Amino acid sequence: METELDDREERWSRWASAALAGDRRSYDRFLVEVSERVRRYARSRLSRSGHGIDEAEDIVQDVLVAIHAKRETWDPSRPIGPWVDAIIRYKTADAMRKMGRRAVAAEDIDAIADLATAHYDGDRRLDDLDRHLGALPSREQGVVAALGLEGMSAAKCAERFGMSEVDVRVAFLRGVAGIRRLVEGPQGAARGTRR
Amino acid sequence: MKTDDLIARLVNDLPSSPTSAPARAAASFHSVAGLTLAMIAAAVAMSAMIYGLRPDGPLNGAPGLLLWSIIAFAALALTQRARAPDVALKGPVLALLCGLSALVLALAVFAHAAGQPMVRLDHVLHCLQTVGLLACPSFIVISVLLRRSAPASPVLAGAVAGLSAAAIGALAYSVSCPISDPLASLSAHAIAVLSFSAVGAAIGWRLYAW
Repeated sequence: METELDDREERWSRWASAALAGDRRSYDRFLVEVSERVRRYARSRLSRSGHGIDEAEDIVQDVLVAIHAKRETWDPSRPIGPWVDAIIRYKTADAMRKMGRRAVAAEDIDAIADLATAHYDGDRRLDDLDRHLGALPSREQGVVAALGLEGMSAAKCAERFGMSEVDVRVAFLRGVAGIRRLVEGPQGAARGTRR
Repeated sequence: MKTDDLIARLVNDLPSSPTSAPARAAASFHSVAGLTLAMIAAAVAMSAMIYGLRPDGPLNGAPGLLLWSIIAFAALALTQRARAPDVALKGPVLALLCGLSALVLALAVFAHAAGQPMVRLDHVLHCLQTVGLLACPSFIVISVLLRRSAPASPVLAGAVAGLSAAAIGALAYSVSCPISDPLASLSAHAIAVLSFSAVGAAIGWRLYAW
């Protein structure tokens, strides 16, 4: 195992040094081997975190582009394996953070919209809903009504209110937490946001 | 796009002759030291022009000049290391920040023991403005370098960039600072430097992301 790592280190160092000197063939070999390593790593991380492994190829490509753009930050007097691994870790974490945000945001909006309106079944409670919505700051009012009641998408809502999608989600989560506080008191709200 | 096609494009994009490697050239000790001295000289000249020299003579700012020179060189050496993704920075950066915080605390205790206020808010606000202004050019230079790099932690890179630039600003302002009491002057400058390090960390996660 150690010999295998040493061999790889020696091979990658040689190819990367040659690439920095302008040898395209060595660079091609280097990128092909690195891409195989990234693919294995990304698939393993994605499957462990419950994401589809079909996203792995995007991570592979992100890493290759980063290696190309940042190739001069490798100091040839230092081993190349840790340098490549650091870029793989950074780009994989970045990609998974973005995937996580997309997935969590979509799930949260559906789940919390249900929770937000669950208290208001029946006509009598609709007055309560109006009252609670009215107690929120105007921006949160609009966003909660649009996403939670009208079923509008975050993107359309962002367009309507001239906000970014992230701001829409933040306003929505704050608005729902505000309503839960009004309905259940502070403890209920805290329980809801930890879901 | 298929990964094989991407690799072919990247390979074609590789210059066929050795690059001038500005990033690697900048990595040498001499260029870091040279750049640091140039930034310090520019900041000192800027301070003398904007704020004039201290009334009791610029050499009376010697404690500040010495301390901030050491901090500036140490922080810039760390900034240089922050440029590569495979270099661990957390320990040295935290050690430097904790050391500086301990200094602020010790100065406050000395001031209290000497019957002076521990920290004077007017001094701190004054130093935040002056040190901040003098740190700006260095922060821009450091940021240009860091944005061409690949720091493993953009937040830490931001903290150390803010620390470097603010230490240069504090060093430069030591020749102009009208506060004659070295304890009060050092503690106000140190609080300003720590504040700018925090600002650097806060914007670094975005500014130096790659």
